[in-house]
Amino acid sequence: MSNLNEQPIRSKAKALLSLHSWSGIVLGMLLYAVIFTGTVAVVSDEVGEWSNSNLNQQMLATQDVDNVLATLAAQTDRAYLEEISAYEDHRQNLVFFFHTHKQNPSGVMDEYGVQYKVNGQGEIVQQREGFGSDIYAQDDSYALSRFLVSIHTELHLPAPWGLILTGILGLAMLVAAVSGFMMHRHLFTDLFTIRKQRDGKPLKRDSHTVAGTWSIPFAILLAFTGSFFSFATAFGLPAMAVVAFGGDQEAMMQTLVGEQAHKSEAPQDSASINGMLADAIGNQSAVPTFIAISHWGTESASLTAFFMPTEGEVGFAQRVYDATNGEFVEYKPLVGTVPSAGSAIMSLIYPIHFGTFAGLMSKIIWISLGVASCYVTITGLQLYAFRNEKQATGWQWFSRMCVWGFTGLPLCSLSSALGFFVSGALQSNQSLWTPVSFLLAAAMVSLITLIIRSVRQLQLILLVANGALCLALPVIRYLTSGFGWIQAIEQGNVALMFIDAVLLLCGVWCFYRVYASNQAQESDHTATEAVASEHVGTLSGAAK
Amino acid sequence: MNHLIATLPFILFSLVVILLLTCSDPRRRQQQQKHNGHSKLGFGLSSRARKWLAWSLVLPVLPLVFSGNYAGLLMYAGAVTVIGWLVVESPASAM
Repeated sequence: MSNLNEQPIRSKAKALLSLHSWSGIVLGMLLYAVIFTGTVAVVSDEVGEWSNSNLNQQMLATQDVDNVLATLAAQTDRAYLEEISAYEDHRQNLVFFFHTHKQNPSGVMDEYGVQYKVNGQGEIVQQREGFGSDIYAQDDSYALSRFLVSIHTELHLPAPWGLILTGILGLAMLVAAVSGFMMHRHLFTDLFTIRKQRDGKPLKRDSHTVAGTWSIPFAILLAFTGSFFSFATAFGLPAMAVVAFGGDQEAMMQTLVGEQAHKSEAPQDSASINGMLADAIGNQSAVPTFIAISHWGTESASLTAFFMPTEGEVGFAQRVYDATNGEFVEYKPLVGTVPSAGSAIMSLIYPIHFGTFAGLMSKIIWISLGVASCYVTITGLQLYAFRNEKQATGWQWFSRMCVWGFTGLPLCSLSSALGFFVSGALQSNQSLWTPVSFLLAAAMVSLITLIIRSVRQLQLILLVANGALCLALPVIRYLTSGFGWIQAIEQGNVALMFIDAVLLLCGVWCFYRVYASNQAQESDHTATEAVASEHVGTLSGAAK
Repeated sequence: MNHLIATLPFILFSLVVILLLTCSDPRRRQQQQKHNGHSKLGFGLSSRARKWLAWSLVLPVLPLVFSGNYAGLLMYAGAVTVIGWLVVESPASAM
């Protein structure tokens, strides 16, 4: 009877193992790319500040926004006064984007208008006209962080294919996590032990299982929220526009954002922006990340101040002011005009996915979760390569591919940072050279992978290159900006010191790995020689 | 900042509990004995005690929820995950 019961359980476990393995093997390398760059994306703001050696000056709180806005509005086409967004960039400028909304050449609703960058002295340092997405894509101050985040969100594939692919990868991660959880029958008994192989190294299967088991809840959470982002943008919103709004994207956005379709454009003096900002800052005990001013100078004028999560909260906060009299109106829900469960959930998805709800501390924890997920992907694919290599020698290409991807991607990402700094120092186009450096490094890594025959040697070379770049980047950043640690400590620039320190630690770790690998090989070699000489001794004794 | 400071003791508590659970894990002790001939930590816990210890990891959820520190709650859950993985990954010979 028990045999009869065990049969279906075994076949179910086998089916789950197949599902788990194939979802990992087919999409594992791309999944690793998305998880690795996602881990970097958690600190994209800090990477932005670090790459520009900048400290946020809280300019929305310290500058005379009213005065700058009035000067800029006077020289701007009235059509673009429909909405004005303002925020501080990574180069100590206030960015004002006077815009209206219209479809871009890809058929997607976009912002169109004039962007001004104004420095601390109130001087315009840059002026651009065009679609918001194009202007942002050419902004050099965000070149590095934007490039790394874009690999995570859409793998640099054209829309909507990149989003669809990352959505599928999120689902593959979800399938792998759930099937891994279901097929492991001794989940909690195996949670605390990693067995060793005969050579003393940890058993690959146990390393994979332990890391996978501990990170299951977050793997599911991050995979789900990531898939949601990808599919909502690629499918959800366009589908909703077609089904519920007859294809009218503007009407859909007005409903989602919770804005009146027809607003009065009758002129009326607006209240002081500085006053509303001071009130918002006082109430939230923080400076807004950005502000959006709608229909400025009309009787429909309003101001929305957007804040990162405050003390103990997880979701973002949006304070809305009536800009005709400067009075606070409401905390605006993210979706629609009245608070709802859907809006509450929506406002939680971004902070939970990127860990941006409690400053650097939550980001450090989220980075660690990303590293754990990378480790699960790496050990999973290595396990598969190891098992197949033992059975068939033709599978060495898989191990080679693992080294190419796992060690090559960090190297290419570091090279893009190198390209950013060098092109910046040469006054070249950083938005161009950052991705080009990544591609050049990718070509170089691929070439080396094809040329070097020994997989171990290949791994060591790539580790040394990673380590060297990790150690060199903080020095290059210092040489190109002249901004050192003493100034960073004086200014309390934690983001800059954090990224520098992480890079130095990673550099040291890479060289330690190379050293440990050489030591292990030497001891293996000595042990083999000892066994061989013992064997020779036994044979010669027997001959005598 | 206060909510971060309020979360830190709970994270340290989880570190202690996970260390205890890892050190007293029968399979880990068995492995250690197999490789070193002895177990470095001379204590074992009954499976009932280990179960209570494991459930105690859920306790910090209550004060975090009641104080409305939802960010702390998420950080605590993330920290337990990371600490658990890192402690178990450390070689059996180290503890």
